[in-house]
Amino acid sequence: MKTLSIGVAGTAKNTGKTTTLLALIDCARADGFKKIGLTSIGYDGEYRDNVTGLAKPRVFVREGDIVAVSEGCIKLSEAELLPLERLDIQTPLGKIAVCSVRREGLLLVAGPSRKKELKTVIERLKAYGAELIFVDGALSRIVPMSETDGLVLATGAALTTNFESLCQNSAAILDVLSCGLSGADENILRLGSVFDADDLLKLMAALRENESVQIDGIIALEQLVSLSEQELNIGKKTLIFSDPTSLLVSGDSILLSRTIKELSKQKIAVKTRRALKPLALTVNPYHPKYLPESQSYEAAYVDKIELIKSVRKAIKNTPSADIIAEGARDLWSEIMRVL
Amino acid sequence: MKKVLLAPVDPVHDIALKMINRTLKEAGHETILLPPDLPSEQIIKTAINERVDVVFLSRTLGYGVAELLARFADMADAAGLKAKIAIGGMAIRPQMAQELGFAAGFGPGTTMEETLAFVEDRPYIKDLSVQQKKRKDITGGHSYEYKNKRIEALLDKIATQAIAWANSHTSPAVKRAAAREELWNADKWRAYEDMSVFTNEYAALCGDGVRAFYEKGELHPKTRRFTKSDVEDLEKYLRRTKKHMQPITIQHTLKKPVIFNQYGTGCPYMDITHIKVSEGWGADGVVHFDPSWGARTEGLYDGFITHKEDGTVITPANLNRIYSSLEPGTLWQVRAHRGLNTPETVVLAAKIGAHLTKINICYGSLGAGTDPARMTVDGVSSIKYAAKYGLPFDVVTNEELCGVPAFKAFAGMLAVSHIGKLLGARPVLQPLFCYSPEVMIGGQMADNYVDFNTAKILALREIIDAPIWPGAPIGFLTQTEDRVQSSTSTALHSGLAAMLGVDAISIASADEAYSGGPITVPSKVDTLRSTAEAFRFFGNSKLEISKNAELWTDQLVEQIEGVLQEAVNTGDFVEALNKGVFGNTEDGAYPGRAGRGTVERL
Repeated sequence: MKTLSIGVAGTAKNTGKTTTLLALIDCARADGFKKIGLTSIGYDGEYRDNVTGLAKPRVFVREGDIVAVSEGCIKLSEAELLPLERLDIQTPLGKIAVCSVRREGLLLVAGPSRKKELKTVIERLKAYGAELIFVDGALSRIVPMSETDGLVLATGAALTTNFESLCQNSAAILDVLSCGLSGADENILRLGSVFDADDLLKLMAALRENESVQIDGIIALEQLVSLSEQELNIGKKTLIFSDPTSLLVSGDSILLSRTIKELSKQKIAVKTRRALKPLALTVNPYHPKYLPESQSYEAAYVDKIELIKSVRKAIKNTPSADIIAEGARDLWSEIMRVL
Repeated sequence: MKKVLLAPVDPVHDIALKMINRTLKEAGHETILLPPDLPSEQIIKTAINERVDVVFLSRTLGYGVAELLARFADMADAAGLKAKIAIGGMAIRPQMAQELGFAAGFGPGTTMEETLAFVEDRPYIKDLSVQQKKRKDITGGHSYEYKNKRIEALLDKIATQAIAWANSHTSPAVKRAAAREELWNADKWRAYEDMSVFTNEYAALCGDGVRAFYEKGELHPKTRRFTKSDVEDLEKYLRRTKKHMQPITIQHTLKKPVIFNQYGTGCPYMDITHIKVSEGWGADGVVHFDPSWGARTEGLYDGFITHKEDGTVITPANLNRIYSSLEPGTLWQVRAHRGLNTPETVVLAAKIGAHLTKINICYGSLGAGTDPARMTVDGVSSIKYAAKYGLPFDVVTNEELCGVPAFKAFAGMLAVSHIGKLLGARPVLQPLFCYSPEVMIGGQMADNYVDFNTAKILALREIIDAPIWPGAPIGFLTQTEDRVQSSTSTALHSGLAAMLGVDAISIASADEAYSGGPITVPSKVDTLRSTAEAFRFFGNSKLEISKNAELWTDQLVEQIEGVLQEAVNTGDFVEALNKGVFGNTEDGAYPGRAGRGTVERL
């Protein structure tokens, strides 16, 4: 059986990435997965949040798990780790080492931050026998997750306490993730990133001459919007990106999704070479509330029942759950079915 | 050669990037410094078009900045930028850079060498002296040659007579030290081998209390043994702490002084935690303080025991636990100096692994309550052991605190250190940097603490080229119950000591003046940090010597010579101590009585 990898990304800080990750790992163990592979594209496992000072969930690993962490994490983790291989991937906390867990305990997990690096790490975790691999996210970063087989998106009140915006944002991200694959054999012109108006002119010229144009990089959202506003009249075209994260990185997901729809009205289809399968959505009623009087944060919650109701009403194609309130069991079954 | 792009992602804060830019250019790299506040897309485009190898971003953190930077990292990755990216700024820590998705994070305290190493793909060894802190040598570079030959001649007479007299006498402590020296072996003791030959002989030489311990197992009433769970807890604490230990350096660009902290809470476990804090915050050495009753008790207890009052009991087990807790680069001083166990403390400390000790016959006799004859016999014996084991010892002038004027205390200090010189030991002069009764009455510090302390150091240097270690602690009696005031005073005294080029200093914690018991860890950190700040502030700048300092220097040298002349005229060192030549009852010094009548002629 092919070893699968699952990424957990967030729409913002404190949306419940780590809580989701831990709940899913528990489900995987209950399903009989013994050797869990684990890494992070950020830094996780601290006791308190760097910014808010509020308590954070901590990552716990069991004997036999295979983890890829920066060397700096090895001695600071409570879990006892046996380094198996040192990879040539530099992080601010040292090189990444693939380790097997010798004694269970809490883990500080800092891992690779670029997609190429994550690709290598996932390959090595597989090589050391990980049966299922989890990749924890960082802040709202998503690009390296394109190397995973599927993505669980964590969102919640930490992004916004306005339920409508929250639902729109998640729906937009899921839309972009499902924007469709391009065919392999088309006659394609390849371009670099479109950062500014000069680059956009080149892109438009290319689109006029070619049926399909592939952007090996990113497009600034401003330029994509500008493209959608042109009266092009150039017939049916395809604009291809390497994967959906190259689009999502350009910023405001709602505007991005709307712009992609505008372009399709103009017969410009936005596609990707590779897919990143959306597996599930988790929603978190928690948000850190800033207290100006004491210049500190306190834990606050929106109405959890209303929140999950709104999300389920707005998003029908992707399973969703409030992990803390409902558990992760049902969501997990859905994820395994999709994978 | 590398090509480097530097981009301030911030409207104003680009000074650090300009400094890095200069460093990189000087090292021969090609750099592009972008104007501040460009959009991320523009920075990434430039980096790709210019095919740079490294990108440096700088940004002060504020609301929403983490998200902005994280998106930068993601965009650069998605755009296929191959260059490695570092982020710098006041709030940046490596952990945060990791979370944001950068290859390195440079926060406050980053050295230019660190950024250069990053650009050049070299591993950066964070301040070699910190990573592999080496034990520093305080006495090196000093010849012990006298500049003042008249004083040398006087000291020769005094020291020769004192040594000859001590050689013809003995005491219970000298006998116990001999037993400890001949019959007690640290390795065998550590291996739990039978030490009964030693114990039997030793117990007979001890006073009633200690003998009762060896014969009946009775401990001192203010002590108890550690329980098994205490010990397990301590070992766990130590494992955890040693794993995380990353000591900082206090000295900045200075080579000297070596920084000592004192410990002696009564509880060796708490002492060890204090030592780990001292080490972590950059102290180079630690000094063991024992209880005052230890100085009046004949013999040393054994066992891993804690004391309910100030001062940690000197026992082989206590010292051994403390010794094994030390970082490899830490200097460890066990004071022998003043009481009825002086020589055997030197032997025991040396056998356990101490690097320094403390011996002062004059202070022990005049300020610490030990009979002058006994202290002289024991002191000379101690100095011989210090010479044998290669343990430098400091000669502290604590009698200044009783009211003895500096010149008399210094005369005594020089006499003891000359005994050390003649016996082949390496004495260290320890004048007090204090607001002593002498200056309170005499007014030498009415305007400032600088001139008289300066004069003390210069006077000693006029006499001899020997290591100087002001103490103990510096700023004694200038500190109050106000932690900020105390820390500032300590820092300023440290700065003065450094500008005078002394070899070492001992610094107190910020609450030492009023704690009336164990000091607290934050107060320890206060003064270590404030001292570091003073060293950063003054660096290698030099002090201008005032007229007063010059005047007092000359006066002190002259007065010291006068005291030594009087001691020579007295003809007998012990007699000189008893007569008050090195400090008399009017000054506030009283010849001690502990151990009186225990000295035997051989």
